[in-house]
Amino acid sequence: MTDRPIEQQLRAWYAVQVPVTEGAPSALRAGVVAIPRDVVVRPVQLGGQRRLALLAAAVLATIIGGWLLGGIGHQPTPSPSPTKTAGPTAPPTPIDTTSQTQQAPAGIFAAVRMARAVSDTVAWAATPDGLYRTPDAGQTWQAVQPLGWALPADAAFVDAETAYVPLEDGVTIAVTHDAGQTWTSRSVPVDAGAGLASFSFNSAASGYVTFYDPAHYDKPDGTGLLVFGTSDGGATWVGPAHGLQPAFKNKMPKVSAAHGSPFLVSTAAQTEGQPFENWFYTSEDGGATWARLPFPSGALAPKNDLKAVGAIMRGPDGHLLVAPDLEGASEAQVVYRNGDEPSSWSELAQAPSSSSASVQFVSATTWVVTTFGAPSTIESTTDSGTHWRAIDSSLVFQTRNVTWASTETGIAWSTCPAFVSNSCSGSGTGAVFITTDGGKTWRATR
Amino acid sequence: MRKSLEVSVADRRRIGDEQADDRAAAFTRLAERHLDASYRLARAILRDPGEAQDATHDAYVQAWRKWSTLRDPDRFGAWFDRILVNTCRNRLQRSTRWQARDISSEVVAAHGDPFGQTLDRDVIGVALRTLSPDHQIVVALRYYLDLPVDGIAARLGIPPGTVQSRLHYAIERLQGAIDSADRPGGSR
Repeated sequence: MTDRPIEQQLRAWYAVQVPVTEGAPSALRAGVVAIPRDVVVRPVQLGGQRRLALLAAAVLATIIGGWLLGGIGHQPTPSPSPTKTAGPTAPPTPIDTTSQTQQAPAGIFAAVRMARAVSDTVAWAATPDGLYRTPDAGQTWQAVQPLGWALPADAAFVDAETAYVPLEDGVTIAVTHDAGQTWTSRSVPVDAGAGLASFSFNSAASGYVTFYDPAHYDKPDGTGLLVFGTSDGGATWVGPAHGLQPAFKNKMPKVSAAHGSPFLVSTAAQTEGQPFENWFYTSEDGGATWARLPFPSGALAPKNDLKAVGAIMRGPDGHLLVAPDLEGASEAQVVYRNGDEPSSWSELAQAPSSSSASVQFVSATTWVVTTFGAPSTIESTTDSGTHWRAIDSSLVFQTRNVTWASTETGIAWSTCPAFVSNSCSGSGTGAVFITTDGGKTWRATR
Repeated sequence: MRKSLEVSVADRRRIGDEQADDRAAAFTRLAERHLDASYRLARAILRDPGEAQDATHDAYVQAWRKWSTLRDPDRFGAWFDRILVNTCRNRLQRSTRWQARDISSEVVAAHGDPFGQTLDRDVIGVALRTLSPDHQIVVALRYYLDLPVDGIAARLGIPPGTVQSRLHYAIERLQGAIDSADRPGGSR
């Protein structure tokens, strides 16, 4: 069968982009050869209990039928459904209760992939080799990963004691409520081919894990999602609810979540010359239902310019707060408040700098803005933007690899040794930095 | 008798050590043999050298952890490709919203560009980004690795019909994206 022109173009494109003469970089080769020496393989003890958990979850799902969210449809709804409690508790089947806490060796963050500060002293960081936790703002780190650890696509580091991570089979969710001293795991009844989309949590006990449905992926009506909910700290997961991530013409086939946040968000991409689809979808129930909202528009957020949801949270009065990422004439960081009508937005506050930046809502009233480029500044407010504090950062930020537990304590990670940028991704010289003075000084750790 | 038992224990321990050494050596040998091709496949799927390096490394770490499940070393290539493809899929799925910015910023303006072929490639690169991770993967396996549908199905552990369907919709979408770029006001 003769190739169509587009198929010929694809073959030619790949031949040019990835020539057969291209070899693996020497740093990668050295890293791969060192794997048997550097990576300790522990026996995975999941077999029988995992099957039991799968069976229990399947039976539970059958019994519960309509499941915890009730009335979950395949169409986006005007407003998110409130979170309901999970069904009956499954028989306790704790596993992986072996304490693996140990002092972490130096150099552990050479391949760091994600990190999150959750209090003024505690932070979590993940690498392909393990999950690490510091109880003292980076002075010391302990390896606390569960058996079966594999670098996850997403993890929920909810607070100082609680973390949810998928294990390497992709369908078992491990949770710790004691800072990694012990872990328990539950398998959820999805195919191993279902991609993990995201975690979204309201609290240490209540939240969702969302998978892409491989049987309904990227269809014209949207991407299928398989949603499981827990209200008992991961002891039981109920589901799946079949959610539908609505489709865009210029679709980003993914959902994103702010770590530790109950929100999932879906926005459009943009094709040159085409107007931006000026709305976004958000879900507070793991993607089972979605609310469609227009992006705020105005002088600082032109309607046809590409936008994303940089941060989202419910304010003290229950109304949504959104800080859009803007790609247009202005990159000023503005926080908007949703009105009584979903389509109405009002400007609540504007950060002092006008440079590109990342906004994080630490709480409904405490926000931190990290600006990109040299010099970077850390701007923070504790009163919803009425007053701002600006601090010159000793680190220059180029990416969003920074999270804040408070206006004082933040953690940043990089695959480069002294520059928070992804430009040397794969070099294996990454580092984690922690500040406890609002970003004035950052200390490289391990 | 006791002496022979001690010898036996010592022998078993030595054999165990040798087996561990052999295991590491076998992994390293196969990894080195496949590394270039693995990296190129990751490059084709992810289209970013740094991402491809990270994905390839992570996949080999996973392969080492799952080494005991590989029964036939002759099947290492297909076995490892599946791990690598899954790793790449995860990276595509967790890629940040920065990709949304990249889509528009990487479109090449056509003004006076005499190198039409180069432009076509840029348009294809941009169009590929609009595909879902699963569609990007089947396209790379088909048009980069030149695998037949059955071969892709075997690599991914999905039915051939699903592969056909994904290829069909991926090509349709790519064609649509390229046609859109060709229209006045499009990206070229």
